[in-house]
Amino acid sequence: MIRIRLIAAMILSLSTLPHTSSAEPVADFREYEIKAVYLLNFASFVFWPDAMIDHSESFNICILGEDPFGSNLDITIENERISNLPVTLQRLLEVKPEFNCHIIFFSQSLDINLSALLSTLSSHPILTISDRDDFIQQGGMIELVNSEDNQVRFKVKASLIENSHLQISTDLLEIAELVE
Amino acid sequence: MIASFKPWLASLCLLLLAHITFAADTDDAAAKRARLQALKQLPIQQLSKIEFYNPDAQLASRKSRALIENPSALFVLTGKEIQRAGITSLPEALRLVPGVQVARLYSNRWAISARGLNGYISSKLLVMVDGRTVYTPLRSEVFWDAQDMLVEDIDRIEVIRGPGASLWGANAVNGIINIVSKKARQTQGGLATLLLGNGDENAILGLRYGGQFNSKTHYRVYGKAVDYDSLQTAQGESGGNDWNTRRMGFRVDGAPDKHNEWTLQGDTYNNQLQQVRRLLNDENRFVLVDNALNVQGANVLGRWQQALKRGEWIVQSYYDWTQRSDRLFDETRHTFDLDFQHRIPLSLRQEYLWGAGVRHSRDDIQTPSRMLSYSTDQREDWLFSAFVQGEFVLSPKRWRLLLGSKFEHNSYTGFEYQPSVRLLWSPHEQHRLWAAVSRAVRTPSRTDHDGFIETSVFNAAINAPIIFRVNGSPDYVSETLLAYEFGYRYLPSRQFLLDATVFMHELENLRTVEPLGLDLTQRPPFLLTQIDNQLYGEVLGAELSLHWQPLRSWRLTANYTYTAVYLHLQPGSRSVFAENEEGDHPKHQFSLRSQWDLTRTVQFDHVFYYVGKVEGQATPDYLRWDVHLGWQVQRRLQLNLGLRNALNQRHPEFGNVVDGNTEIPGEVPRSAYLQLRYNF
Repeated sequence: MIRIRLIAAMILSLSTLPHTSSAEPVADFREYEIKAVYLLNFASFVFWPDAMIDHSESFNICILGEDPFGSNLDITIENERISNLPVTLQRLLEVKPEFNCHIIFFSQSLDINLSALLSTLSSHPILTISDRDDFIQQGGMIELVNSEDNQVRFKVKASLIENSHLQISTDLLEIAELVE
Repeated sequence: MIASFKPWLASLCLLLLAHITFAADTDDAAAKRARLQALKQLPIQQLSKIEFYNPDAQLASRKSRALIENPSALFVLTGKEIQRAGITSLPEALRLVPGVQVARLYSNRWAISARGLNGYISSKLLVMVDGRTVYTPLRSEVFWDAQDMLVEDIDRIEVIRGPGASLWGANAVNGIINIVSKKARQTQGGLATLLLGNGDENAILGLRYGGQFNSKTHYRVYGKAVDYDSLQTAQGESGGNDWNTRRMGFRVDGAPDKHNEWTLQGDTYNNQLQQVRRLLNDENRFVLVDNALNVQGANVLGRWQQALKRGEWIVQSYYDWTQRSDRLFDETRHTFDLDFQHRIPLSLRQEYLWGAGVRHSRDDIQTPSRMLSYSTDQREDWLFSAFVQGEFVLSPKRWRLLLGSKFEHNSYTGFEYQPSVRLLWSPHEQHRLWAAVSRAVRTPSRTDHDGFIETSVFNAAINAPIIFRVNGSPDYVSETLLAYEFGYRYLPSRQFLLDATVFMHELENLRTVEPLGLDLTQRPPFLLTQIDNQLYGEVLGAELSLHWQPLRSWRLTANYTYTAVYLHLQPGSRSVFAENEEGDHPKHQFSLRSQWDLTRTVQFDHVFYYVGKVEGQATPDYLRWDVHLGWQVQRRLQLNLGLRNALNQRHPEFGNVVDGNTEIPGEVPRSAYLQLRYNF
């Protein structure tokens, strides 16, 4: 069911080696710092229908449920533009297609009928992302996965993304773990 | 030596502290901003390779620290590497670590040390399993026969060669080994594994199931049973040292919210070991007897970690019960431990880590044989400890200083201090140099303090045995180490890492056996001795480790270790064999490991070992070649096939010269295995 494209290579990579040599010596990256930067990356590797961009004044990332990012996402999107729109962040307690979210991040804390909600959203050009480990199973598009080596990888359900009239860059598909 | 060290260290610390002028307290937000900026500059492919900070999986430095930034001789072995080397037990896995000597005496006994001074009882290596110490105060050693887990559940083994005492406390003299199991979240679903072998393990059966109570609480339960064959003796006879183990356990991990994480885990085991021992008979001669050893135990550990606005604290507690009984002694031990630590990042440039702990150990020892006895059957010991470590960025991206010390109070020697100063220099992004000076102690064991050992030496001159009695000594003090280490790491690319360490260990107050008097009038004659601290010495060595990944599918690791030990008796000492210990390790050790992915589903792996002769144990050098073929037959089923020690029928790894070994050494044979691993 799951086709693994790159994971084997990653496992083989020098997993005991550090990956922070260029960073601040005392700094250790936090899980949600990496995930915040992933979100911004996804925004630039996925293309929204022109209508969804043209009728927006900003590119909206929405967090549904308790925000696990703290200030990470706010700092990450500062001065960033996607499709020439300034990026904004909204924290929501509920979500509807009309809210004009380009990306919705579903918090692990959500205690709702996820599959029903995702099914409602699926016909709209909204990229759904979460780090819940049942997210794709419930009908989500991108699932962030913590590896055994404390690295953050991601799974993509490409068919779902395409059905919602989003276009996904092949560069992103190259490095994703694809779920069919 | 120590006397000259103290003022030296003190003045160095003062000098350095005086010259550190910290920048105005930069707050956490600025650090975060810098990290996020660094992450944003990475291509998305690189993002997936960044390891994030997880204090739980990085126990060794008590704080996350990428390998290259670690100013100590750290080596990390992942569970996957262990599986691909065809290894099925914890002591055998340490063969893959540079600088560690693993010598198997027979099927259920290993002599394991780092930086020399190995032995049947290897007293200077501290070992922790998921934060629980498995180093026993009975004889200052690790009972490897009682330590095990599913190989599939090993997350990593972190080894720091050299002293780790400033954080980990007494007995982390020659090294500290942290065995870390995976979190329950990483072992979801079912796993059944069956290994059938010839030569070493006859069969290993492992079962595990992982699930979740809710989305924030994961668990696993496991069971493992192993049946080991006996290793043959040099003469090719069955060594009579077969054994079997049964163990089961659980782990539950919860993260109720983003600030809190907790773990509850436990194991219970029951191992039946066979050995052949020499025991004294009524005529004071050694006779070979079959000795059945029953090892059982249980432990439960809880840990709670809370992230604070700055830093975090961790509180951990465990209870451990072990019982060992054979014809020599029957020991029951209860250990209770409580440990707390708190990390405070004050700014980008300074961070503090401190902690405190208490450990209570209670034993009850019966000695059915006259060869061993204790002045009291029961003993209760308290250990109180505290540590503090400061980490200072002297110059951003260039110089970093770690200063710290452990302070302990134990029931045998009272107060002990174990400081360490470590300096890391990053002259260039690809180069790291570090230097460290540290002190560590090996505190007296129960046997050192109040044990009596009786043995017999046949004397040809009188054609009769002489009774040889070794008394423990309440005046026995801690053995001390002062270590000087220098390290260099070179990381020119993601595919290559060179890691080199040279060290000098200065050891003092090592154990000797001093004769008190020989009474020839008795029948049989009687030699009375007492242990003392009359030996000192130096250990010099170099450890080299090279990782190279020439292809995406091919990874090579080479290790070389040179160790030279020089021991000297104090002028007043009349100890007979203490200096012999300087030859109890191989001078040269080399290994080359190749992990090769033939296709996406087929792995083909090799490990070559060269281990030099162990002069003190009259053991010749040997070559060993292990080969492993792994095949992912389908998504759920994996097949592993392997041959170990392919080059020779069998070889000895350690002798039985002095050091209290009264058992018959076996030889490590060629062995083959077939393993099926099924996920459901």
